[in-house]
Amino acid sequence: MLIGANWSRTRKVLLNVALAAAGAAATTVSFAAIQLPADKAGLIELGRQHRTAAELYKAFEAEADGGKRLDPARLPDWTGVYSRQGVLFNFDQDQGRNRMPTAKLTPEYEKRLVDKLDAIARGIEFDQLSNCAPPGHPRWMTEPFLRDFVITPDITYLINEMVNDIRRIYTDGRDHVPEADRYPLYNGDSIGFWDGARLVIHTNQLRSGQYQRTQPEYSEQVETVEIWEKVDERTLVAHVWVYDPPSLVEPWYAQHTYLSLSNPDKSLRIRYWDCGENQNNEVIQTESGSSQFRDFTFTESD
Amino acid sequence: MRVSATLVVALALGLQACTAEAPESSAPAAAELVPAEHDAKVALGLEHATAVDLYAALKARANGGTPLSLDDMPDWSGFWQRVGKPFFDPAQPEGVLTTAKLKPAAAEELGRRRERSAQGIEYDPISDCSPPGFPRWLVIPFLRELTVTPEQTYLFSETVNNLRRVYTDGREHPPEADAYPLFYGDSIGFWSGHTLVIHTSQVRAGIFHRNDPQYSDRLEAVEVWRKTDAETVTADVWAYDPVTLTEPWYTQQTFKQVPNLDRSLRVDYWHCGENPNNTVIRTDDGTSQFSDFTFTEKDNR
Repeated sequence: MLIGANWSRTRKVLLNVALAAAGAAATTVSFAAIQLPADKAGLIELGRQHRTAAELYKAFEAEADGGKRLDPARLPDWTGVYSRQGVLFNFDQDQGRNRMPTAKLTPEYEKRLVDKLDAIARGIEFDQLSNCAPPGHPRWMTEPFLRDFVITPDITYLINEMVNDIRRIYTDGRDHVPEADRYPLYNGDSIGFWDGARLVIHTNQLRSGQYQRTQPEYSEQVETVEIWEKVDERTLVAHVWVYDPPSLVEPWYAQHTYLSLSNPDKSLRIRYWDCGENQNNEVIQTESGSSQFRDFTFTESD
Repeated sequence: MRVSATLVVALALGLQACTAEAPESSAPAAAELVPAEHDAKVALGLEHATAVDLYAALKARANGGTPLSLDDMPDWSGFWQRVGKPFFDPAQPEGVLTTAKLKPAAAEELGRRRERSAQGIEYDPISDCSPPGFPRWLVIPFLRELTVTPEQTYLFSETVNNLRRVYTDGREHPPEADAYPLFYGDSIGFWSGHTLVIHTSQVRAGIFHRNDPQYSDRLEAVEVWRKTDAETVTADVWAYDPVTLTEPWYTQQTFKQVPNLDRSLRVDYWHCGENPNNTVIRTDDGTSQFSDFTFTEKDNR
């Protein structure tokens, strides 16, 4: 372990010297200090080694020597319009067609999920999105539609087209807001640092919600650590560890993949999403937990 | 990924050898692109029949513009807030209906709306969570971020998560057959030095602001944005609308940096539907009917 740590530090010094001497863009080269396990079992185990998301984030921060502020002249290139890949409703793609997710749920949240899935099977379902509320994080990771990612040295914007859903990741060295000033937010409060071309994020201060329509719920104690990186010309990968003591008996690790869409004529553009224009809104949650859509009629012209 | 240190140093030296000095910019300074005086800016709008013509003239004057390089980016970071009177023209004198030169129907509509507003009869689509749309985007309050990248500039406004994307990667507007009205239209632009010039078309009809004129979906606008000092960004705006305006309406919008020394100020998701005033219904007489809600003693503070 000691040998590994020394090599890591030596390699980093050499790389920093080399890059400083280069004085030129190295936008697609990732010289990360954090050594991520190569397989999923190792990534799951990494989460288990830390009691909280804050501890995992601190461990990454220590391994990366606190990270390095991006050089404005050498920003990673995440330009383009992206879309999430995989099965729409699965937070973890390895769930496949199984009814239950890969998360290790507490008995209470497992029962909630089973009850929800049973109700859905009977056609009883309500989703806050139907009424124009945002999905919130970590559900943000799984939503469909277009995304773009805007990198600046001090803030990275992770943008989803749906309901103009913007996450701001502060990488200017600031800490989370003081505990006394915190309250639950849809997308929480996200701070991060850059480890080479990898973005490491810690998010807290979240509202409770559900990972997806057929996925478990989470409480407002949920916190996440994410590591985002571009793995090839078209693909961004986000490793996510979710911690939520009321709902999870251990951190839930999942990997999300976002693919840059072909747009050679640049005709694909993201527009303002005015959810209220949808005539289905507003949708009322009935006493039985189902969805009552507004009355509307179809005419022949429809 | 394991990388040989020798390879890295060799790569670095190679890159160093290949690094060329940034070419001298031939972009005219902002002062050469548009005149400094208000009246001359009004006259500049009058010299061009359409927003497309004005945009093309500015682009020609800027020699086609210069793509931004990461080595020399304008710093518009931080939070900004519009300053000035709550009219589309912040310089509008007291007691004046508007500084826009309106066609008779538009003038009559504005006069009638202002009269009714004075009687408390008013409806604003924003009350029901619709976005303000452009060009009204320029004058709404709350926090803004102006985020510049070489290919796009993102103009964020906190209100209902408004985001305008200005494409500066050389693309044109969509073909006419694919164009349809949008809240923020379609914006393309170019850089002349650190001055951003934008042309916006394809907007939806709306109002310039609550007590300002209406505009049609034939409105187009040219904007010239630049940072004039460490705490100030200005936008010169020429709005052309053959349906409501007899001549281009020139205004200057000013955005001031909001102090944020401890970096505690943050923009969070704006979920308009959480406001208990919504849904707001427009009644037959044109006023606003808010949802029923009651105030308890606890709320009566």
